[in-house]
Amino acid sequence: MNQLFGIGKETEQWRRTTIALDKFYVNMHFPTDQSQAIFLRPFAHLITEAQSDADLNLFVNHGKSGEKPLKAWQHFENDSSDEKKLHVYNKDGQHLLYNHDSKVLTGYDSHEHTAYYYIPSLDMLPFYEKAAPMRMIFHHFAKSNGWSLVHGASIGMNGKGILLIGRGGSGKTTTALSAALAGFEYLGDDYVILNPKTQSILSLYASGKFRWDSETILHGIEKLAVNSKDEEKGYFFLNQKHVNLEKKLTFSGLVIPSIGEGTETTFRRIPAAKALLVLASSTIFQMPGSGNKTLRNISDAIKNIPVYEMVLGNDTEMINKQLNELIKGL
Amino acid sequence: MEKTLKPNEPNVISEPMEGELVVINLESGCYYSLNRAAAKIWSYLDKGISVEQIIAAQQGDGLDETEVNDTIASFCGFLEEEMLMIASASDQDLLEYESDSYEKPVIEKFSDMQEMLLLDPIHEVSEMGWPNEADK
Repeated sequence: MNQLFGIGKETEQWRRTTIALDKFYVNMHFPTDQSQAIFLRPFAHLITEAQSDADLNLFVNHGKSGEKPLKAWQHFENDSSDEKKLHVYNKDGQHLLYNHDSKVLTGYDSHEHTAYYYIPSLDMLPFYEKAAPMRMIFHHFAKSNGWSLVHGASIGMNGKGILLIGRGGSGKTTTALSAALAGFEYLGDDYVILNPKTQSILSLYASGKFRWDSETILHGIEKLAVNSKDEEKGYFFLNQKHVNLEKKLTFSGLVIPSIGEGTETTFRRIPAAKALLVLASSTIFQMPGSGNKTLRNISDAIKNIPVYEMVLGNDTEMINKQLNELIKGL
Repeated sequence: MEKTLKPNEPNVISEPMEGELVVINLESGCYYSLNRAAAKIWSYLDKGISVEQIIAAQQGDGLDETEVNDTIASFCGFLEEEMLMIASASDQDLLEYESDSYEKPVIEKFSDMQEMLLLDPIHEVSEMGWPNEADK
């Protein structure tokens, strides 16, 4: 796969950074200072001291604007279309994915514990790849550790974390960001990792994405944005100055929010099967290569977790107060 | 000949949770919630027990046999229509059927994630290596 991604022997000269996910290390290798700076921003909170022996080696490669792209990339680009955005190829524990929308080609070799990421030019990166990059790689890495990369937001209090799940527009991101800005502990707004063995939730991306019209609910959110309104959503990076950014919380509760009509925010306990239905469907269809193992991992992670349905009122202070009480009681 | 069905693997995956069952069709993008009674029928079908045997084993006071027959047959027909289960050759005896009373099987279908399913069919790669696809 090295050859396919244009990775030669000269990688020893590349910039290397180690990030830690719980007790596992990922060595990320970059060909330029620019790519290192761009891709490390969402992982900044996970950077740790350099490790010579990592659980995954991840090579990022890119060309320059106007340069001819790699042959393999050209093949997949020509073979793809707007209609079918993702192309997935599998071969004995090796996986390739081409995303026609983002123009990113990624590879994962589970035998060699190596992953690859290629885009012809950094100028081509869409906003979501800058905010939360390499999802497919971390999906495979999580799977190989018995974890699950899931579609959900996570916040907490005093080490107890809740996972907010639901489709886009259900209110999970707004709830998580509003809570984070109000002082709750924060793990992520869109994708986090569940570890069923330690019953914990791990942070992956220290970023947040928001719809430009959510300024009415999340006052001042636009000031945090690092991009312009030309892009579909705003995004920003968080650090300890903004919020209580955590790397890991105990998985203590699961909340399915929905937007209500009044000011009142209410909770009620519901069966876990509903949570499996919502979480599995919204995660699995977004993670190519998911199957029974992913479904089983998700099920293992949530089976002993209390599940609540939450109808959101339009008073954010009230939402945060209710969330605080819910988490305290878990 | 009695009708037997089996889960349409690997396109269809399923997982029990508190007696209910979540079923996902990876190919169509639809997913389903099965109540306890439906989950139980699913598990018997999965063991190779025929539709006819499952219908015959239903018990209960004042049970309307025609209604039970129609409900279970229609449920199994839906599993086939949705490509969640396909015909199988297995024909086992119904040995360990729990004699609890009949409950109506209910399956709920959700298709709101279909738009997420932007995947081209997943390709296996031939021995020639990337990016050559294996013959189908």
